Amino acid sequence: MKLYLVQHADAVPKGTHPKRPLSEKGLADAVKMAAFLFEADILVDEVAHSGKVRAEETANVLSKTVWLGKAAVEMEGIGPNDGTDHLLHSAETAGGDLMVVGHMPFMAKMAARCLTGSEGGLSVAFEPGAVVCLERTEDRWVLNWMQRPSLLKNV
Amino acid sequence: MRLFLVRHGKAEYGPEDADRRLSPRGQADVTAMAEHLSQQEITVARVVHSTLARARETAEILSAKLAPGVQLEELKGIEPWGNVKAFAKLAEKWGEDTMVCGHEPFMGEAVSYLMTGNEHAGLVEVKTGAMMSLARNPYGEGWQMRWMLTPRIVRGPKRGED
Repeated sequence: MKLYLVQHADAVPKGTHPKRPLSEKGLADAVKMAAFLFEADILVDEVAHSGKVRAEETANVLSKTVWLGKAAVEMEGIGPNDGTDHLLHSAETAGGDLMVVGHMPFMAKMAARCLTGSEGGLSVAFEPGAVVCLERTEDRWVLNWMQRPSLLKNV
Repeated sequence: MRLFLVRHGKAEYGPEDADRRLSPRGQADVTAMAEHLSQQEITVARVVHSTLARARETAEILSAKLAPGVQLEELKGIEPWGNVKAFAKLAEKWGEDTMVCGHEPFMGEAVSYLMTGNEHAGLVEVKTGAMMSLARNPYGEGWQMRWMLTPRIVRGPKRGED
């Protein structure tokens, strides 16, 4: 089973729009990542988001290629400053592959928690729109691959 | 400074382990990785490889695209059972973006050690032809992961099966 951790793509500042939808760059980055995931033939069994507009918009763009375009579902407990217990439990009991679109610092803590058992155990360099693929093997999580929009200049 | 850690591509079987060359699949996987990264404008200033032929051949294919004109350097001590702590000390002194072509279990243990201080943390299972980009952690000790790609991800599953 795989867990895809995604930081929402670049969003406009609060002053521009209080709900902070994706910026033009954020939307373009999400589309590039969706294309990359399509080429890699990545499919998942659910795409979830935190409920914030920037996460939901990112999730719905990625869902177009990885979840047959279904509307991503809102998930509790994955806000920017939430603890990692809830998602860890969900991921370890999920029957299939799960993609979760949320925020920093939560995503970095979650990656570290899975890989080392501790939220501060290591540093994964997320950026807006980055995707980290973790895989649950027999008794532990391993890092499978990681892709970032800044490495998708020419797609 | 970026560190690009690579495991050699799939190799042919042979009686002399040190002389084993890449298989056609291994060559194709590494070539696909080189082309993908070249399109993303990744360049490398130094390229080092282990003393084994399959690591050298991997370095040759990657450097043709990512480090044109760079003289390859052979490095002892990064063979499959090399000393990751000695390697980490060496890498800390490097000032230029450097690609290192080596083996499992060394590469997986090196990444675990660089990122957590524990070479047995088991963070990754590095598949043949996989590449990882690390940078010094700006927030603290050690190194952080920037990206990690495998032939399976870069080529798609039909041509780059696990």
